[in-house]
Amino acid sequence: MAYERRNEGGSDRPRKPFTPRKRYGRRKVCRFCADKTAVINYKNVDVLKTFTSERGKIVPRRISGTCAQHQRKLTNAIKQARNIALLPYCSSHGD
Amino acid sequence: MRTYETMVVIHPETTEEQLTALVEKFKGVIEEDGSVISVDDMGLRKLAYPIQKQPKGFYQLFIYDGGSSLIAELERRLRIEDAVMLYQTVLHEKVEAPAVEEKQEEDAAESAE
Repeated sequence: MAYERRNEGGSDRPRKPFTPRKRYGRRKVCRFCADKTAVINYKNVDVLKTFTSERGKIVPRRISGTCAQHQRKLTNAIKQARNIALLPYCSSHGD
Repeated sequence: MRTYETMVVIHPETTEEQLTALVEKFKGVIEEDGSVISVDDMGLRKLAYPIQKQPKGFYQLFIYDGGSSLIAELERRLRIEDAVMLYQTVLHEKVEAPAVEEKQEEDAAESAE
């Protein structure tokens, strides 16, 4: 054998194809749970804009740190805002 | 009877008189079968993407009470109107946060005294 086996006597487990990422140490608090005054509505574009990426895509929950309930509300609000042209669907709409 | 809100985007080239006439017309449509709570003129805003090749539009928000048939009728009228570019009807959410804040401020003021 060119290399030594890690587990001897056990099944020949293939190595992981990728190294596992280090854990997300910081546990961000949901912004809306912490601060109840912020209302999730399709009309407050400023709040909604912080949860869309540069290209206009909705930021995933593991990045923004919102809880599941508020993420669902946020998604709905962003989609409603897009529908009424308060938020863009993508970064460049072209003329 | 539920509270709905309809946001309407009107063509930017409508004059002020035409705008008020349109708003009155839609208010009339709502009043037939329901009751208007408020009309909010959000003014001329830049659109996030061009609609009918226009970069801006007049935003109007109607908040009203009514039945589901009223919404169908209102949207039908909106669709007929040429000046209306976009509309969206949503259930109106009651915002209770300010009342809670005021109460907390009152409590704090009382305890301070």
